[in-house]
Amino acid sequence: MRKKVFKIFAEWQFEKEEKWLNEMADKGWKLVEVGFGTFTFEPCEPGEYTIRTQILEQSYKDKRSRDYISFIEETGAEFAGGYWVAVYFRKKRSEGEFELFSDNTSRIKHMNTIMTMLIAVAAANLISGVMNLALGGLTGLAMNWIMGLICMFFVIMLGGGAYKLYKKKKKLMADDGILEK
Amino acid sequence: MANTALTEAVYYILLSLTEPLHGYGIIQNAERLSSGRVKLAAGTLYGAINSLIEKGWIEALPEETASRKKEYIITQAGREILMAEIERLRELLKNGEEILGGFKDA
Repeated sequence: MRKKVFKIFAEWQFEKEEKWLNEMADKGWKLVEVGFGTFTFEPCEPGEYTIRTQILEQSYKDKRSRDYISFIEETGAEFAGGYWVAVYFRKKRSEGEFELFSDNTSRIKHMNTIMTMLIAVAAANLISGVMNLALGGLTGLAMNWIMGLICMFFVIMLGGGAYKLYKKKKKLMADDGILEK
Repeated sequence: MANTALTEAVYYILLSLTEPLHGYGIIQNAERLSSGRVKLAAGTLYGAINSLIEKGWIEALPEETASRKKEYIITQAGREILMAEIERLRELLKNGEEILGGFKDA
């Protein structure tokens, strides 16, 4: 029996998404497929799996990503799905703790990848937002005003996400030069 | 080069690769050698392996058809780095013991 859930997480909600996927696993639903706004689950023992998500530097279908995914699979984790630059893994709790990163260098590198993605999407929204608002000013069309405002809302949320991540990164870096981790 | 300190992860990766091992083997070996203290996460290990290959300190063995898992081994350059690191660690240990009078009284 499969269960398909429609749920949209915006780019800045990656932590919330991972938390939710783990809550699903705790309830006995393991992630088996990911699509645009959809997550497919299959029954498992409650708490049988830990889910980890990662943002890659390129599409999950890219050769480098496939190489990475098979490396992770060789360490006992299962590939649960991918969408655009996001990949999802699950690993049985009985096989031990599941983390993708074990030192700050790699944690910070991952944060930088997410920040780059957030800023790129924010920049695209900013351009589109400014153009729509300018058009709205010229033509007076409500459609342009609405589109422009939606884009600007995204710019603010994406920027906020990037800023939150930046603060987290600074916190991780506080022990730089003193401690290795 | 004289002032290079390896990270703990890299030290254990190089040490593990004095014999051919695949990724999961490295994780298990590092955990065993450190009595469970060093737990390398797969994503971190992947990044480290690629950096070490780029530096020429380790290399990937040609893939065999029998086992699909990619194996790695230390190179001569990697071995020299490892020896230099052990020398550096010896110095740290010696100075620490001399100044603090050994572990017993520390």
